Amino acid sequence: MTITISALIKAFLLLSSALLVACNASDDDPLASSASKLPPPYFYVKTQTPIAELQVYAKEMALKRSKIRLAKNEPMARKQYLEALAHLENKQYAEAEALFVALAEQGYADVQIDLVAFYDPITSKTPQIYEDGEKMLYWLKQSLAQGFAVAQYIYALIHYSEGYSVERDWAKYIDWLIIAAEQGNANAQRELGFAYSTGRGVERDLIESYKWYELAIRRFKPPPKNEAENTIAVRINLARSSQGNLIIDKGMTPEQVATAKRLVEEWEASHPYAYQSINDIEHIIYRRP
Amino acid sequence: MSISEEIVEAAVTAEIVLWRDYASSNIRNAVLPAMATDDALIQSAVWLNFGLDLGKNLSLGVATAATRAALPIWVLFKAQELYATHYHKPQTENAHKMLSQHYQSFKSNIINEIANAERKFMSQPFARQVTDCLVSLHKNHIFSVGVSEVSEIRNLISDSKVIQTDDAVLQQTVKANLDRVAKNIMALYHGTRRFGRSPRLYVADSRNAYIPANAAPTPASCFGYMMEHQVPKGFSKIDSSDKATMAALYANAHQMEIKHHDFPLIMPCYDTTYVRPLNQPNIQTQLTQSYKGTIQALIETYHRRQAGRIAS
Repeated sequence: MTITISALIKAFLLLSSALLVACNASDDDPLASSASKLPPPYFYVKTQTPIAELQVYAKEMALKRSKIRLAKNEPMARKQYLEALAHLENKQYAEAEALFVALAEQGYADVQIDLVAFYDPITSKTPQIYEDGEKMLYWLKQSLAQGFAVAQYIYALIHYSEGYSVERDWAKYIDWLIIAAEQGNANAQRELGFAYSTGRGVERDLIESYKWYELAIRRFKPPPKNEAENTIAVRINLARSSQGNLIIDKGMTPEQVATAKRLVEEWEASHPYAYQSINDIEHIIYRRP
Repeated sequence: MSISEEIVEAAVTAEIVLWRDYASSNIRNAVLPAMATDDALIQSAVWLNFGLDLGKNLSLGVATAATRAALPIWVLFKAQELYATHYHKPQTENAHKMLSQHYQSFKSNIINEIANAERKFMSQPFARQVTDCLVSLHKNHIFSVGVSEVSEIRNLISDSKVIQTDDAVLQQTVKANLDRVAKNIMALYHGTRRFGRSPRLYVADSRNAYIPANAAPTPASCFGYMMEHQVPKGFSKIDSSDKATMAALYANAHQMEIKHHDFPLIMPCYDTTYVRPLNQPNIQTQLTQSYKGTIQALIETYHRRQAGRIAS
């Protein structure tokens, strides 16, 4: 073996540094020692609007709810609406579209949402020639302008995925979810619970997540008899399972659960104007054949 | 209306896009651990092995590969394909060429491959089957507006962790695996390039060879160890000055068990490095396991929901 003096010195220095490293290592788990040094997730953004402002806006919208024009509440419009649905079921898409547009132009917010589904470029069941992201966005904004909580929820969702006529925008996704959830839209409450549990667009917060799931579950009430039986059951399952995962998978403590439950009661007490059931808004939504 | 394939596909795609963005971002922001050399060749080797090992890097965050790996396994397949296409023939010569690339360039290639994942995932046969599974699990369920249905399926996918989209988990796994790969590379580096001490490099002849238990002899046995000059059974002595051979070893370090022993200079033992291929399942086996795990994860999640419904 060839050994030089300089090699001897280098080896000594290396041996010393190796020993130092070994002494400083906390344990065998590389994640444990590196976790505290990691930067925050890149996608986390604070909502552009303070939550208090969103809550005030949501309350204003809720208190103006009676001014929203809904086709289901007006006999003539309702008749025309049912006629449009019949055309749709018979796959007479052009006729259905004409009637829907005529109603939507009169400002019926629920029909405007039907057109959102009609033109949806990703999941619409209408023939491809009717898929139109721009038209979808136009009618969505018309309904949004009236303060319709269903439109607010859908407007939030289209900012989550790519493929719609808007850029993905976590801040808008969260802002509009909060606005819709604060008015008692159970779908938005479930999605907000999901956002808080996964940290998508908002800082992860298990207590907030549990709270919103719980508020959603309370509002997923049995549907009217003529509704298909599975609609609400699936949503209850989704929310219950996700809420359970907060405890099973994410280690939520009993104390945190208790805090969340207290926040739920406080929220209910301070939101007498909120929708109390998903059926208050859900059954008016157009169901595709 | 029962749930449609378009809705499932839109939900799966949304999760993939998220995975793509998180994974790319984490790799882009990842930094090599402190290494004893700033040799670009060695750093390149770390990134190369990281890329070739991508399936593990991005999927083994919290549980078994089988339940988490559907998409990352596909990326692993692409990385291996890339290697086979561009670098495999003749392996040693081209491996050296590959390692000579600046490591940032290879890092970009990895990110590009991930970017392609979204586009190509849905056309993979096992992705098709995942979609079929979701559709059949929900065939009797009724939702409302399409975009709302997509959100509910996203929730299901997230809960089942079929696609790992937890940014914090991805971030930690990227770092942990980069550290692990770098450690392997450095073991090889130290074992072959230090101080002209004529270190010994033994490479296993087959996967069945095991690194000898006395690989790290005590001072008392060291003298005898040195005198024996025997190549361990099942291993061959490799000339570490052969750059092509070394480059091939560097290129495959992620699938090797590498043990290096430095002896204090007062001991007469040679520094010794053992290299042994790991017994890893082939890509087909991994894909099969991945698919089965994916389906199982979805079914388990679904049953959990059903149980929750009954309990309520």
